[in-house]
Amino acid sequence: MAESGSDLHELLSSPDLVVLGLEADSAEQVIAVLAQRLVDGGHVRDTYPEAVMARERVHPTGLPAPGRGVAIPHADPAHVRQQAVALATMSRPVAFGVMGTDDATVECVVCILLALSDGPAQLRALRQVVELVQDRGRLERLVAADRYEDVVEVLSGTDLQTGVS
Amino acid sequence: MKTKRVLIICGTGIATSTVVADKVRTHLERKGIPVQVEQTKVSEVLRGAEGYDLIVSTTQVPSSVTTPVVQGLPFLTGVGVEQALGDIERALTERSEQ
Repeated sequence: MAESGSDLHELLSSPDLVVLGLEADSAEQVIAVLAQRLVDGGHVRDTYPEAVMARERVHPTGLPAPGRGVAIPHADPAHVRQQAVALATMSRPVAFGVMGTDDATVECVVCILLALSDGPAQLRALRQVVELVQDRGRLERLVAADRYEDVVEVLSGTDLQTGVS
Repeated sequence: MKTKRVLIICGTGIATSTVVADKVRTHLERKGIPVQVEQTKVSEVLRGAEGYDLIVSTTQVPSSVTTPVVQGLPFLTGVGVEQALGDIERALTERSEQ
């Protein structure tokens, strides 16, 4: 299958993969909504939603970024058909477990569900996610976005600063 | 100084450890600490990580592992990076003096 571009904004290839102002009470709800978008778009196998959910319980993915919590749930590449990401901004913060802990939580306002395949392409996207998480200004703009086009604009800014040093 | 072996560990799925490994390697090279950085998944170290001087992990490390551990989370969030780098440096240089 042809790979689409591997930049973050290219992986967010359709407005169907973006949910703005999501109202959810739990991390599970957020993951369920976004995972279903990836299933509907044919990006992942039917096994993906449960795989992400199960992984999140054991290895949580909440990142206590400066100011704004961001969660990056994901699963093994085996569940991915054609790599993509789905993104939600939350109308109110939702608690996710902090990566590397088994009891701490972080209030997240952005969730980026990663459906990445193996190899260099996933690494490029992952680096761009980390750049975004660490950039307070861009996160603020992302949270404020009310159109798909705005989200793509914020994410594509990553191209200007992909150097990881 | 003897080359140090650092193991970067992430959970399963995607390689958050690669992003962390880049930053640790760059920093230690800049500090003139000879280092060999390797990566693995947590499922591969259930029986320990023999032969490594230090582990940097973005996930919980099983209690069976006796190698010193520094949290890798700061390299993903950008919060507390300087302290994490200091901890890594200290762990590696203190062990070499023993």
